[in-house]
Amino acid sequence: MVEPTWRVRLLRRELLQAAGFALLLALFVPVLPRLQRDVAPVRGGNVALSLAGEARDLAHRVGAWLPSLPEWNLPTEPPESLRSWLGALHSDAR
Amino acid sequence: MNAKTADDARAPRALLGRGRAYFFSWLLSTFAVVALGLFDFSKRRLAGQVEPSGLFGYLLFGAFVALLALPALFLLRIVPETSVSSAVRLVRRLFFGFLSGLLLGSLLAALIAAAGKGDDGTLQVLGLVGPLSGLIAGFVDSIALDGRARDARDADSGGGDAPAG
Repeated sequence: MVEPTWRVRLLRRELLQAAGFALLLALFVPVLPRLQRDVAPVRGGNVALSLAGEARDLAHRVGAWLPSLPEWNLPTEPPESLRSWLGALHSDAR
Repeated sequence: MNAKTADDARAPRALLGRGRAYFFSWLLSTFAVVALGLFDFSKRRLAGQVEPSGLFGYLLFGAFVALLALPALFLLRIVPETSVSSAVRLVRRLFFGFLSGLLLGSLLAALIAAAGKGDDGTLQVLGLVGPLSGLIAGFVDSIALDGRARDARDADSGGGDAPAG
């Protein structure tokens, strides 16, 4: 019996993996909608919608913060909340 | 223990072999999806809308949906990588990972819609998790490729150690 070459062995392994992943994707079709209904945190809710909403909020927050980043620089004065504390630190009345 | 042995102990090849790259892609994708879920859980819990047992649902859902990273990494590895630059490899892997994740997410969304089983939430979550898991698979594959490149460099420089695949 002739041993298969390494190319044939590699192809077989890749084809087996591809078949396994195709089965996994096929498993997603019935399981995912059922799972998102069954594990919903609130009655009548949808865990997928919650997740998508959370990601959207996060993206909005980053999207609002990122454009203002180039304009940011170190403050030249202490903030108002620290001013009184620093004043007390350097006063002679200590 | 000499320096060479210490370097070998930290080698990425031991960490990200063929099977382990798939495991880490799934694990990191799970982290990402579950993290989003936990924020949502915390908000809802503070508002009194959800029981503490709802936490398990988020974990289960995140771990299952993150399985999408496995075929994403498989598709990503079909694309050959020839660059010697680690940065170029990273950018390319991220781009191709995003593409393969986007394809898988949209393919699944189409299949679920064709089977008449999904709703708006399914499509939204697949549109989010598909590209996200593809990006994570790209990062992981980039690390694995760096490990292989370093092995090849070590072998060329006369170390004599055979590079691991």
